[in-house]
Amino acid sequence: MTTQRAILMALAFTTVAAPVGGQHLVVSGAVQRDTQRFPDSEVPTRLSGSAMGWTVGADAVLKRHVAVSVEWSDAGTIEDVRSTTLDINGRATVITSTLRHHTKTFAALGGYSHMLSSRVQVAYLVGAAFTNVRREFESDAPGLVLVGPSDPVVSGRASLVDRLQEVTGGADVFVRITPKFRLVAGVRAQGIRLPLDVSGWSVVTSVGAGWAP
Amino acid sequence: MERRDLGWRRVGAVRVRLLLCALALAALTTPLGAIERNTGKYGAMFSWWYDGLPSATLYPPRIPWNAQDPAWWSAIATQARDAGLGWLAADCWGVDTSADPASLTPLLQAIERSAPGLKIALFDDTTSAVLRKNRARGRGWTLDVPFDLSDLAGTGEGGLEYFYDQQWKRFFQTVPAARRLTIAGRPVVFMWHGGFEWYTRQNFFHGVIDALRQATRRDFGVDPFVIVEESWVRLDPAVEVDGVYDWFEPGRSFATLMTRNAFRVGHVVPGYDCSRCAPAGPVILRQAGKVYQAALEAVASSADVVLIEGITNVDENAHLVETTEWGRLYLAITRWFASNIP
Repeated sequence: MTTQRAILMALAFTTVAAPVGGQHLVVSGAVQRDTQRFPDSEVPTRLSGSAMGWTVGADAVLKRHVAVSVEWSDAGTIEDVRSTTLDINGRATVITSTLRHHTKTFAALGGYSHMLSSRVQVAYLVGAAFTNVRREFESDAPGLVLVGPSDPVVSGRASLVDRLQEVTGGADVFVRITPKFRLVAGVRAQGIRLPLDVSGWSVVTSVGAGWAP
Repeated sequence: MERRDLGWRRVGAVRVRLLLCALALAALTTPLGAIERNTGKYGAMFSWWYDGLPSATLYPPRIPWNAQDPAWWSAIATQARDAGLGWLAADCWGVDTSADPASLTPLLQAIERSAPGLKIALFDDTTSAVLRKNRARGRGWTLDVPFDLSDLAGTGEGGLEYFYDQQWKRFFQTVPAARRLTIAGRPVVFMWHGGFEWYTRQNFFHGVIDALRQATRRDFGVDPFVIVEESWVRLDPAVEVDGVYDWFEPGRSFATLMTRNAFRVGHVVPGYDCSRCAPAGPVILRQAGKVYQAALEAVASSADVVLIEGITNVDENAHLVETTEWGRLYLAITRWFASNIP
């Protein structure tokens, strides 16, 4: 759903924001690093971490200073692996579990843009992020803990997907290398709230290349 | 030309057949939808017969332990909510006991105040039917004379009234439909089994279940979703129930997972210490929450419901509530699973 929405929005955006007169359009792709932090309570959330991913987007400047942007990012997978040793009926047993979560976001932003120099343009943006978080849990506990009449060969895997809408904000820097080619760097920050009430935040830094048609 | 057309048509027909086969295969291999619950997967046993802390309690809760105080009920409902529990299984002992289901009104009020999403299941502590039957026969509160499961009329050493009128009916009269845990729209009833020696003609258990269903349909218009301890099914394979669970057993299991009719019931205990019970019983060491965590890891991914023993079981030191010993650790572990493996 988020992917379809992203494609439709991007198509609409690139159609509307085609460079006319004083307007500028940059279509870009970048690699990114997503750092997420979720405060722990008595039990670790196991969601904090970093991952490499990628992003594509289109940025336009309308009427000199009005910046608009749409972007799609796949922030990669953050993985938390833990082993614990406990005594089960007199034998030391090591149980290993993994919690992975994968974040994808489509965002539509707007803001203020200005030229920092003749070659460097900066845009400050705020907008809405539609984020898809897929969590996958895996453990070898069933085979180590369950005994008959329980079925010890059941799967220790589970997954769930949450779709969130959050406010996002950040800045983009475009460095003109040639009339058609830009070096692009950006930063984004947004909150992430997962059920039941796990709250954290994500900061994404990216660097890539842009093409100005 | 015609031959070529015929060839293309044959290829087309083969493709259509392949497509239909693929669709049929996909339909067959697609897993059935999750069994519909009206609340979260995780629930805990709930007991409320306290007018003080039992002498066997090793780990005192932080709240004053007195079920005569409305604050106690609110605190339990709040901690159940904080743990992410979807439901409580009220451990009922029937009429004229300190765990009469008719005395659950304070829980309903506490849920209304503090945890509106929390649902309630009936946990029929079936030992009580034997005890109440013997009390009614003038023998006192004893298990010495077994319960005849074939005697539904109650002319001998049995009687449906001990299961239904004195237990199930009082639960359904007290807990309104909106507050009941339901699966596929049917209110959930768990039934315990403590000892085969407490019953005679155990192979008539199916008759008890059939009669209980019939009476519940007649009086309340609902078909209960009955989940029994697995030993009942071994004693009477003819019994038709909707699910089974296997109660934990110190020295053998602290987590179990049973499947019946494609419905999976997990059961876990955070720890158990009856060393100060009378008579003294066995112990499952908590190992600083590792046992509970391992238990939930073992069952959570597969189970349709997880029955946790229990939120308030201070009698056997199997409780989850906040204590001076472990703080809110067990509430937090439960919440982690409710959040990540809902």
